[in-house]
Amino acid sequence: MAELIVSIQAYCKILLHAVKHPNCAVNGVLLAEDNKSKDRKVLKFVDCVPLFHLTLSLSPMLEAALLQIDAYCKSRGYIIAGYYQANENLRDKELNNVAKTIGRRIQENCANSYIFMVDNERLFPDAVSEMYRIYSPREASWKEEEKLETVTEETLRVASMLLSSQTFREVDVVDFDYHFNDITRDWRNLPINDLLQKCT
Amino acid sequence: MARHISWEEARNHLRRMREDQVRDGQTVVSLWEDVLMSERNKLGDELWTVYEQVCIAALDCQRIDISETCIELLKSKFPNSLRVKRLLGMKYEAEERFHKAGDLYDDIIKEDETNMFARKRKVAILKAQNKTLEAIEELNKYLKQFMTDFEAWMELCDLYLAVQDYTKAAFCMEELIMSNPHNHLYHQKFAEIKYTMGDPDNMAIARTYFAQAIKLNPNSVRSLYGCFLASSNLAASSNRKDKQSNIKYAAWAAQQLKEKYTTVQPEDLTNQTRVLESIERVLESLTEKTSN
Repeated sequence: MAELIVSIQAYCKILLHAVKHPNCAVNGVLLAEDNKSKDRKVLKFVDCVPLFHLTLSLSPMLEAALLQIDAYCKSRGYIIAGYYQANENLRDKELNNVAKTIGRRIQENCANSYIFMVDNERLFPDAVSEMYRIYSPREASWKEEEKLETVTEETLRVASMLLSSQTFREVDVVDFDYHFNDITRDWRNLPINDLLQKCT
Repeated sequence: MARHISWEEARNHLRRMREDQVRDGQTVVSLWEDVLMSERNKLGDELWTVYEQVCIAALDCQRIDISETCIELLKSKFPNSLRVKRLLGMKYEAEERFHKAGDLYDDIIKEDETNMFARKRKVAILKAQNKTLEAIEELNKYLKQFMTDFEAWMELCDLYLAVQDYTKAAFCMEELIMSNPHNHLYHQKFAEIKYTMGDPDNMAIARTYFAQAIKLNPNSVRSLYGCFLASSNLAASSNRKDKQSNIKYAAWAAQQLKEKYTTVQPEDLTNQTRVLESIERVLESLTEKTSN
Protein backbone atom coordinates (compact mmCIF):
# COMPACT_ATOMS: atom_id res chain seq x y z
CA MET A 1 0.00 0.00 0.00
CA ALA A 2 1.41 3.30 -1.02
CA GLU A 3 1.80 6.16 1.34
CA LEU A 4 0.02 9.27 0.17
CA ILE A 5 1.13 12.78 0.91
CA VAL A 6 -1.06 15.74 0.03
CA SER A 7 0.72 19.07 0.08
CA ILE A 8 -0.77 22.11 1.74
CA GLN A 9 -1.21 23.68 -1.68
CA ALA A 10 -3.24 20.79 -3.05
CA TYR A 11 -5.33 20.39 0.11
CA CYS A 12 -6.18 24.06 0.52
CA LYS A 13 -7.07 24.56 -3.12
CA ILE A 14 -9.59 21.73 -2.91
CA LEU A 15 -11.01 23.33 0.22
CA LEU A 16 -11.19 26.80 -1.32
CA HIS A 17 -12.81 25.51 -4.49
CA ALA A 18 -15.49 23.63 -2.58
CA VAL A 19 -16.37 26.51 -0.25
CA LYS A 20 -16.41 29.03 -3.08
CA HIS A 21 -19.40 27.23 -4.57
CA PRO A 22 -21.48 26.02 -1.63
CA ASN A 23 -24.53 25.37 -3.77
CA CYS A 24 -22.77 23.45 -6.54
CA ALA A 25 -20.95 20.22 -7.00
CA VAL A 26 -17.26 20.84 -7.76
CA ASN A 27 -14.47 18.68 -9.04
CA GLY A 28 -10.84 18.82 -10.03
CA VAL A 29 -7.66 16.84 -10.43
CA LEU A 30 -4.62 16.40 -8.23
CA LEU A 31 -1.12 16.48 -9.64
CA ALA A 32 1.61 14.28 -8.27
CA GLU A 33 5.33 14.11 -8.78
CA ASP A 34 5.96 11.61 -11.54
CA ASN A 35 8.43 9.46 -9.70
CA LYS A 36 9.06 6.61 -12.08
CA SER A 37 12.63 6.36 -10.99
CA LYS A 38 12.21 7.23 -7.36
CA ASP A 39 10.60 5.48 -4.44
CA ARG A 40 7.40 3.88 -5.67
CA LYS A 41 5.98 3.62 -2.21
CA VAL A 42 5.30 7.30 -1.66
CA LEU A 43 2.92 9.27 -3.85
CA LYS A 44 3.22 12.98 -3.26
CA PHE A 45 0.43 15.23 -4.50
CA VAL A 46 1.98 18.63 -4.98
CA ASP A 47 -0.81 20.65 -6.50
CA CYS A 48 -4.36 20.50 -7.73
CA VAL A 49 -6.27 22.05 -10.60
CA PRO A 50 -9.94 22.85 -10.04
CA LEU A 51 -12.04 21.80 -12.99
CA PHE A 52 -15.73 22.62 -12.85
CA HIS A 53 -18.59 23.82 -10.72
CA LEU A 54 -21.35 23.87 -13.33
CA THR A 55 -21.98 20.57 -15.12
CA LEU A 56 -19.52 17.91 -14.02
CA SER A 57 -20.70 15.01 -16.10
CA LEU A 58 -20.15 16.07 -19.71
CA SER A 59 -17.08 14.88 -21.61
CA PRO A 60 -15.92 17.53 -24.10
CA MET A 61 -14.85 20.22 -21.63
CA LEU A 62 -13.36 17.59 -19.36
CA GLU A 63 -11.25 16.29 -22.23
CA ALA A 64 -10.22 19.79 -23.28
CA ALA A 65 -9.18 20.56 -19.72
CA LEU A 66 -7.27 17.31 -19.27
CA LEU A 67 -5.45 17.99 -22.55
CA GLN A 68 -4.18 21.31 -21.26
CA ILE A 69 -3.35 20.02 -17.80
CA ASP A 70 -1.55 17.01 -19.21
CA ALA A 71 0.69 19.15 -21.40
CA TYR A 72 1.43 21.37 -18.42
CA CYS A 73 2.23 18.34 -16.27
CA LYS A 74 4.67 16.90 -18.77
CA SER A 75 6.58 20.15 -18.81
CA ARG A 76 6.89 20.10 -15.01
CA GLY A 77 7.47 16.41 -14.35
CA TYR A 78 4.03 15.95 -12.84
CA ILE A 79 1.27 13.48 -13.58
CA ILE A 80 -2.49 13.62 -13.05
CA ALA A 81 -2.84 11.03 -10.32
CA GLY A 82 -5.91 12.04 -8.39
CA TYR A 83 -9.45 13.29 -8.77
CA TYR A 84 -11.54 15.14 -6.21
CA GLN A 85 -15.25 15.80 -6.13
CA ALA A 86 -17.59 17.47 -3.69
CA ASN A 87 -21.26 16.69 -4.28
CA GLU A 88 -24.02 19.26 -4.43
CA ASN A 89 -25.98 18.18 -1.37
CA LEU A 90 -24.53 18.85 2.05
CA ARG A 91 -25.06 15.32 3.26
CA ASP A 92 -24.16 13.52 0.04
CA LYS A 93 -20.69 12.03 0.23
CA GLU A 94 -21.39 9.13 -2.07
CA LEU A 95 -18.84 8.00 -4.61
CA ASN A 96 -21.30 8.43 -7.47
CA ASN A 97 -21.16 7.42 -11.12
CA VAL A 98 -19.68 10.70 -12.28
CA ALA A 99 -16.75 10.26 -9.89
CA LYS A 100 -16.27 6.63 -10.87
CA THR A 101 -16.31 7.41 -14.58
CA ILE A 102 -13.84 10.26 -14.34
CA GLY A 103 -11.73 8.28 -11.87
CA ARG A 104 -11.46 5.45 -14.40
CA ARG A 105 -10.49 7.91 -17.09
CA ILE A 106 -7.63 9.17 -14.97
CA GLN A 107 -6.62 5.66 -14.07
CA GLU A 108 -6.16 4.91 -17.79
CA ASN A 109 -3.28 7.34 -17.78
CA CYS A 110 -1.95 6.64 -14.32
CA ALA A 111 -2.59 3.20 -12.88
CA ASN A 112 -1.76 4.30 -9.37
CA SER A 113 -4.43 6.96 -9.03
CA TYR A 114 -6.94 7.84 -6.33
CA ILE A 115 -10.34 9.46 -5.89
CA PHE A 116 -10.80 11.99 -3.09
CA MET A 117 -14.50 12.34 -2.22
CA VAL A 118 -15.01 15.45 -0.15
CA ASP A 119 -17.26 15.12 2.87
CA ASN A 120 -19.07 18.46 2.89
CA GLU A 121 -19.92 18.06 6.55
CA ARG A 122 -16.22 18.26 7.40
CA LEU A 123 -15.81 21.66 5.76
CA PHE A 124 -15.86 23.85 8.83
CA PRO A 125 -13.15 25.60 10.87
CA ASP A 126 -13.14 23.26 13.86
CA ALA A 127 -12.91 20.06 11.86
CA VAL A 128 -10.13 17.85 13.12
CA SER A 129 -10.03 15.26 10.41
CA GLU A 130 -9.18 15.45 6.73
CA MET A 131 -12.05 16.63 4.60
CA TYR A 132 -12.12 13.71 2.17
CA ARG A 133 -12.41 9.96 1.93
CA ILE A 134 -9.87 8.32 -0.33
CA TYR A 135 -10.66 5.53 -2.77
CA SER A 136 -8.26 3.37 -4.75
CA PRO A 137 -9.10 1.30 -7.81
CA ARG A 138 -9.83 -2.39 -7.27
CA GLU A 139 -10.69 -4.32 -10.42
CA ALA A 140 -14.17 -3.14 -11.45
CA SER A 141 -14.84 -0.91 -8.47
CA TRP A 142 -13.27 1.40 -5.91
CA LYS A 143 -12.30 0.60 -2.36
CA GLU A 144 -12.13 3.07 0.46
CA GLU A 145 -8.69 3.45 1.98
CA GLU A 146 -9.28 3.91 5.67
CA LYS A 147 -6.88 5.20 8.27
CA LEU A 148 -4.78 7.14 5.82
CA GLU A 149 -3.21 10.32 7.07
CA THR A 150 -2.23 12.42 4.13
CA VAL A 151 -1.72 15.90 5.54
CA THR A 152 0.28 17.49 8.33
CA GLU A 153 -1.07 19.27 11.39
CA GLU A 154 0.22 22.47 9.83
CA THR A 155 -1.97 21.93 6.76
CA LEU A 156 -5.06 21.35 8.87
CA ARG A 157 -4.25 24.47 10.88
CA VAL A 158 -3.94 26.63 7.77
CA ALA A 159 -7.13 25.15 6.33
CA SER A 160 -8.98 25.93 9.53
CA MET A 161 -7.62 29.46 9.53
CA LEU A 162 -8.70 30.06 5.93
CA LEU A 163 -12.25 29.20 6.94
CA SER A 164 -12.48 30.90 10.31
CA SER A 165 -10.89 34.15 9.18
CA GLN A 166 -13.27 34.32 6.20
CA THR A 167 -10.20 34.64 3.97
CA PHE A 168 -11.79 32.16 1.61
CA ARG A 169 -14.34 34.80 0.64
CA GLU A 170 -11.67 37.13 -0.73
CA VAL A 171 -9.67 34.55 -2.63
CA ASP A 172 -10.35 34.03 -6.32
CA VAL A 173 -10.41 30.37 -7.30
CA VAL A 174 -10.06 29.96 -11.04
CA ASP A 175 -11.35 26.67 -12.37
CA PHE A 176 -11.77 25.55 -15.95
CA ASP A 177 -15.37 26.78 -16.03
CA TYR A 178 -14.04 30.28 -15.46
CA HIS A 179 -11.07 29.73 -17.76
CA PHE A 180 -13.21 28.68 -20.73
CA ASN A 181 -15.38 31.75 -20.22
CA ASP A 182 -12.32 34.01 -20.16
CA ILE A 183 -9.00 32.49 -21.17
CA THR A 184 -6.97 35.20 -19.50
CA ARG A 185 -7.85 33.61 -16.16
CA ASP A 186 -5.09 31.31 -15.01
CA TRP A 187 -6.13 27.90 -13.69
CA ARG A 188 -2.77 27.44 -11.99
CA ASN A 189 -4.05 29.84 -9.31
CA LEU A 190 -0.61 31.29 -8.54
CA PRO A 191 -2.03 33.95 -6.16
CA ILE A 192 -3.33 31.14 -3.95
CA ASN A 193 0.13 29.55 -3.92
CA ASP A 194 1.56 32.88 -2.77
CA LEU A 195 -1.10 33.29 -0.10
CA LEU A 196 -0.40 29.83 1.27
CA GLN A 197 3.34 30.51 1.34
CA LYS A 198 2.62 33.51 3.56
CA CYS A 199 0.49 31.42 5.92
CA THR A 200 3.19 28.90 6.75
CA MET B 1 -17.15 42.56 9.44
CA ALA B 2 -17.50 46.33 9.67
CA ARG B 3 -18.60 48.00 6.48
CA HIS B 4 -17.76 51.58 5.82
CA ILE B 5 -20.30 52.20 3.12
CA SER B 6 -23.37 54.38 3.14
CA TRP B 7 -26.88 53.01 3.34
CA GLU B 8 -27.54 54.22 -0.21
CA GLU B 9 -24.60 52.22 -1.52
CA ALA B 10 -25.81 49.18 0.35
CA ARG B 11 -29.31 49.62 -1.01
CA ASN B 12 -27.98 50.01 -4.56
CA HIS B 13 -25.80 46.94 -4.16
CA LEU B 14 -28.83 44.91 -3.09
CA ARG B 15 -30.79 46.26 -6.06
CA ARG B 16 -28.05 45.18 -8.47
CA MET B 17 -27.94 41.74 -6.89
CA ARG B 18 -31.71 41.38 -7.34
CA GLU B 19 -31.51 42.46 -10.97
CA ASP B 20 -28.58 40.21 -11.84
CA GLN B 21 -29.99 37.39 -9.72
CA VAL B 22 -26.68 36.96 -7.93
CA ARG B 23 -26.72 34.29 -5.26
CA ASP B 24 -24.46 35.45 -2.44
CA GLY B 25 -26.19 35.02 0.89
CA GLN B 26 -23.30 36.13 3.04
CA THR B 27 -22.93 39.51 1.34
CA VAL B 28 -26.65 40.26 1.49
CA VAL B 29 -26.81 39.33 5.16
CA SER B 30 -23.81 41.47 6.12
CA LEU B 31 -25.07 44.44 4.09
CA TRP B 32 -28.35 44.14 5.96
CA GLU B 33 -26.98 43.58 9.45
CA ASP B 34 -24.08 46.00 9.31
CA VAL B 35 -25.56 48.83 7.28
CA LEU B 36 -29.19 48.79 6.25
CA MET B 37 -31.01 47.38 9.25
CA SER B 38 -30.56 50.51 11.32
CA GLU B 39 -31.52 52.75 8.39
CA ARG B 40 -34.44 50.67 7.19
CA ASN B 41 -37.02 53.41 7.68
CA LYS B 42 -35.32 55.24 4.80
CA LEU B 43 -36.14 52.48 2.30
CA GLY B 44 -39.84 53.27 1.89
CA ASP B 45 -41.77 50.59 0.06
CA GLU B 46 -38.59 48.94 -1.11
CA LEU B 47 -38.21 47.68 2.44
CA TRP B 48 -40.56 44.76 1.78
CA THR B 49 -38.63 43.57 -1.29
CA VAL B 50 -35.46 43.87 0.75
CA TYR B 51 -36.97 41.81 3.58
CA GLU B 52 -37.76 39.09 1.07
CA GLN B 53 -34.25 39.23 -0.36
CA VAL B 54 -32.64 39.18 3.09
CA CYS B 55 -34.90 36.32 4.18
CA ILE B 56 -33.81 34.08 1.32
CA ALA B 57 -30.16 35.09 1.74
CA ALA B 58 -30.35 34.32 5.44
CA LEU B 59 -31.69 30.85 4.68
CA ASP B 60 -28.71 30.31 2.39
CA CYS B 61 -26.37 30.98 5.33
CA GLN B 62 -28.40 29.15 7.96
CA ARG B 63 -29.28 32.41 9.74
CA ILE B 64 -32.72 31.14 10.59
CA ASP B 65 -33.07 33.86 13.20
CA ILE B 66 -32.96 36.61 10.59
CA SER B 67 -35.29 34.77 8.23
CA GLU B 68 -37.88 34.28 10.99
CA THR B 69 -37.84 37.99 11.79
CA CYS B 70 -38.30 38.88 8.12
CA ILE B 71 -41.16 36.42 7.71
CA GLU B 72 -42.95 37.76 10.80
CA LEU B 73 -42.68 41.34 9.58
CA LEU B 74 -43.79 40.43 6.05
CA LYS B 75 -46.71 38.41 7.43
CA SER B 76 -48.00 41.30 9.49
CA LYS B 77 -47.82 43.62 6.49
CA PHE B 78 -49.26 41.11 3.97
CA PRO B 79 -51.40 38.74 6.05
CA ASN B 80 -52.84 36.49 3.35
CA SER B 81 -49.98 36.54 0.94
CA LEU B 82 -48.98 33.29 -0.75
CA ARG B 83 -45.68 34.90 -1.59
CA VAL B 84 -44.92 35.22 2.11
CA LYS B 85 -46.21 31.72 2.75
CA ARG B 86 -43.65 30.30 0.32
CA LEU B 87 -40.88 31.98 2.35
CA LEU B 88 -42.11 30.07 5.37
CA GLY B 89 -41.96 26.91 3.27
CA MET B 90 -38.37 27.69 2.30
CA LYS B 91 -37.52 28.21 5.95
CA TYR B 92 -38.84 24.72 6.72
CA GLU B 93 -36.71 23.41 3.85
CA ALA B 94 -33.62 25.09 5.29
CA GLU B 95 -34.37 23.39 8.61
CA GLU B 96 -34.74 20.10 6.72
CA ARG B 97 -38.38 19.82 7.86
CA PHE B 98 -39.31 18.57 4.43
CA HIS B 99 -42.71 17.12 5.33
CA LYS B 100 -43.88 20.38 6.84
CA ALA B 101 -42.58 22.27 3.83
CA GLY B 102 -44.27 19.87 1.42
CA ASP B 103 -47.61 20.19 3.22
CA LEU B 104 -47.39 23.96 3.14
CA TYR B 105 -46.69 23.99 -0.61
CA ASP B 106 -49.64 21.62 -1.13
CA ASP B 107 -51.80 24.18 0.69
CA ILE B 108 -50.56 26.93 -1.60
CA ILE B 109 -51.34 24.84 -4.66
CA LYS B 110 -54.83 24.12 -3.35
CA GLU B 111 -55.42 27.85 -3.00
CA ASP B 112 -53.84 28.68 -6.33
CA GLU B 113 -53.56 25.95 -8.97
CA THR B 114 -51.36 28.10 -11.19
CA ASN B 115 -48.72 28.73 -8.56
CA MET B 116 -45.54 27.71 -10.36
CA PHE B 117 -43.32 28.52 -7.45
CA ALA B 118 -44.81 26.09 -4.96
CA ARG B 119 -44.73 23.30 -7.53
CA LYS B 120 -41.05 23.89 -8.23
CA ARG B 121 -40.23 23.99 -4.53
CA LYS B 122 -41.71 20.50 -4.26
CA VAL B 123 -39.15 19.36 -6.82
CA ALA B 124 -36.45 21.13 -4.83
CA ILE B 125 -37.47 19.25 -1.69
CA LEU B 126 -36.98 15.94 -3.47
CA LYS B 127 -33.65 17.09 -4.88
CA ALA B 128 -32.47 18.13 -1.42
CA GLN B 129 -33.07 14.60 -0.21
CA ASN B 130 -31.21 13.13 -3.17
CA LYS B 131 -34.43 11.59 -4.46
CA THR B 132 -33.42 12.34 -8.03
CA LEU B 133 -35.81 9.93 -9.74
CA GLU B 134 -38.82 11.27 -7.84
CA ALA B 135 -37.69 14.80 -8.57
CA ILE B 136 -37.57 13.96 -12.28
CA GLU B 137 -41.10 12.55 -12.12
CA GLU B 138 -42.43 15.60 -10.29
CA LEU B 139 -40.72 18.00 -12.68
CA ASN B 140 -42.09 16.14 -15.70
CA LYS B 141 -45.59 16.52 -14.25
CA TYR B 142 -44.94 20.23 -13.78
CA LEU B 143 -43.71 20.70 -17.34
CA LYS B 144 -46.82 19.08 -18.79
CA GLN B 145 -48.71 22.08 -17.43
CA PHE B 146 -46.07 24.79 -17.70
CA MET B 147 -44.20 23.79 -20.83
CA THR B 148 -42.74 27.21 -21.56
CA ASP B 149 -40.78 27.39 -18.33
CA PHE B 150 -37.19 27.37 -19.66
CA GLU B 151 -35.60 27.31 -16.25
CA ALA B 152 -37.51 24.11 -15.52
CA TRP B 153 -36.39 22.45 -18.74
CA MET B 154 -32.76 23.28 -17.86
CA GLU B 155 -33.21 21.85 -14.39
CA LEU B 156 -34.78 18.69 -15.83
CA CYS B 157 -31.84 18.36 -18.22
CA ASP B 158 -29.42 18.56 -15.28
CA LEU B 159 -31.42 16.00 -13.32
CA TYR B 160 -31.28 13.57 -16.25
CA LEU B 161 -27.53 14.17 -16.52
CA ALA B 162 -27.18 13.34 -12.84
CA VAL B 163 -28.64 9.89 -13.53
CA GLN B 164 -26.73 9.66 -16.81
CA ASP B 165 -29.84 9.42 -18.98
CA TYR B 166 -28.26 11.33 -21.85
CA THR B 167 -31.06 10.65 -24.32
CA LYS B 168 -33.66 12.35 -22.18
CA ALA B 169 -31.26 15.14 -21.23
CA ALA B 170 -30.71 15.77 -24.95
CA PHE B 171 -34.48 15.88 -25.44
CA CYS B 172 -34.76 18.67 -22.86
CA MET B 173 -32.14 20.67 -24.71
CA GLU B 174 -34.02 20.10 -27.98
CA GLU B 175 -37.09 21.69 -26.40
CA LEU B 176 -34.99 24.67 -25.40
CA ILE B 177 -33.37 24.99 -28.82
CA MET B 178 -36.76 24.92 -30.53
CA SER B 179 -37.98 27.79 -28.39
CA ASN B 180 -34.72 29.76 -28.52
CA PRO B 181 -32.88 28.83 -31.71
CA HIS B 182 -30.47 31.75 -31.43
CA ASN B 183 -29.12 30.91 -28.03
CA HIS B 184 -25.63 29.49 -28.60
CA LEU B 185 -25.49 28.08 -25.07
CA TYR B 186 -28.34 25.69 -25.81
CA HIS B 187 -26.68 24.42 -28.99
CA GLN B 188 -23.43 24.03 -27.12
CA LYS B 189 -24.90 22.07 -24.23
CA PHE B 190 -26.84 19.85 -26.63
CA ALA B 191 -23.61 19.18 -28.50
CA GLU B 192 -21.81 18.36 -25.25
CA ILE B 193 -24.48 15.82 -24.35
CA LYS B 194 -24.31 14.21 -27.79
CA TYR B 195 -20.51 14.08 -27.56
CA THR B 196 -20.73 12.40 -24.17
CA MET B 197 -22.93 9.67 -25.63
CA GLY B 198 -19.80 8.70 -27.54
CA ASP B 199 -20.84 6.70 -30.61
CA PRO B 200 -19.94 8.04 -34.10
CA ASP B 201 -23.47 9.09 -35.08
CA ASN B 202 -23.91 11.19 -31.97
CA MET B 203 -20.36 12.50 -32.30
CA ALA B 204 -21.23 13.74 -35.80
CA ILE B 205 -24.35 15.46 -34.47
CA ALA B 206 -22.22 16.99 -31.73
CA ARG B 207 -19.80 18.38 -34.28
CA THR B 208 -22.67 19.93 -36.22
CA TYR B 209 -24.17 21.59 -33.17
CA PHE B 210 -20.80 22.86 -31.96
CA ALA B 211 -20.37 24.38 -35.41
CA GLN B 212 -23.77 26.05 -35.12
CA ALA B 213 -22.82 27.38 -31.69
CA ILE B 214 -19.62 28.82 -33.16
CA LYS B 215 -21.66 30.46 -35.92
CA LEU B 216 -23.88 32.08 -33.31
CA ASN B 217 -20.94 33.05 -31.11
CA PRO B 218 -17.51 32.92 -32.78
CA ASN B 219 -15.82 33.75 -29.49
CA SER B 220 -16.91 30.67 -27.65
CA VAL B 221 -13.81 28.76 -26.62
CA ARG B 222 -15.96 25.86 -25.42
CA SER B 223 -17.62 25.46 -28.80
CA LEU B 224 -14.27 25.69 -30.60
CA TYR B 225 -12.81 23.01 -28.36
CA GLY B 226 -15.95 20.94 -28.82
CA CYS B 227 -15.74 21.17 -32.59
CA PHE B 228 -12.00 20.42 -32.50
CA LEU B 229 -12.37 17.35 -30.30
CA ALA B 230 -15.47 16.01 -32.04
CA SER B 231 -13.84 16.31 -35.46
CA SER B 232 -10.65 14.71 -34.16
CA ASN B 233 -12.58 11.81 -32.69
CA LEU B 234 -14.42 11.28 -35.95
CA ALA B 235 -11.23 11.52 -38.00
CA ALA B 236 -9.55 8.97 -35.75
CA SER B 237 -12.33 6.44 -35.89
CA SER B 238 -14.40 6.82 -39.03
CA ASN B 239 -13.99 5.35 -42.47
CA ARG B 240 -12.16 6.96 -45.39
CA LYS B 241 -15.11 9.00 -46.69
CA ASP B 242 -15.45 11.22 -43.68
CA LYS B 243 -11.86 11.24 -42.55
CA GLN B 244 -10.33 13.97 -44.68
CA SER B 245 -13.16 16.43 -44.06
CA ASN B 246 -12.98 15.81 -40.34
CA ILE B 247 -9.25 16.42 -40.34
CA LYS B 248 -9.93 19.70 -42.13
CA TYR B 249 -12.58 20.68 -39.56
CA ALA B 250 -10.28 19.76 -36.70
CA ALA B 251 -7.44 21.75 -38.24
CA TRP B 252 -9.70 24.76 -38.74
CA ALA B 253 -11.00 24.68 -35.17
CA ALA B 254 -7.45 24.21 -33.86
CA GLN B 255 -6.37 27.26 -35.83
CA GLN B 256 -9.15 29.36 -34.32
CA LEU B 257 -8.25 28.17 -30.84
CA LYS B 258 -4.55 28.88 -31.27
CA GLU B 259 -5.33 32.36 -32.57
CA LYS B 260 -7.58 33.00 -29.59
CA TYR B 261 -4.94 31.89 -27.13
CA THR B 262 -2.13 33.84 -28.72
CA THR B 263 -4.10 37.05 -29.11
CA VAL B 264 -6.10 37.09 -25.89
CA GLN B 265 -3.93 35.34 -23.31
CA PRO B 266 -0.71 36.91 -21.98
CA GLU B 267 2.26 35.31 -23.69
CA ASP B 268 4.03 33.78 -20.75
CA LEU B 269 0.80 32.19 -19.55
CA THR B 270 0.38 30.53 -22.93
CA ASN B 271 3.95 29.31 -22.83
CA GLN B 272 3.83 28.05 -19.26
CA THR B 273 0.59 26.14 -19.65
CA ARG B 274 1.71 24.64 -22.94
CA VAL B 275 -1.71 25.17 -24.50
CA LEU B 276 -0.54 25.35 -28.09
CA GLU B 277 1.50 22.18 -27.77
CA SER B 278 -1.46 20.27 -26.41
CA ILE B 279 -3.58 21.23 -29.40
CA GLU B 280 -0.75 20.48 -31.84
CA ARG B 281 -0.25 17.03 -30.40
CA VAL B 282 -3.84 16.03 -31.14
CA LEU B 283 -3.56 17.29 -34.71
CA GLU B 284 -0.30 15.47 -35.27
CA SER B 285 -1.76 12.19 -34.10
CA LEU B 286 -4.52 12.57 -36.70
CA THR B 287 -2.22 13.15 -39.62
CA GLU B 288 0.04 10.31 -38.44
CA LYS B 289 -2.86 7.93 -38.74
CA THR B 290 -3.67 8.97 -42.29
CA SER B 291 -0.13 8.41 -43.45
CA ASN B 292 -0.26 4.80 -42.24
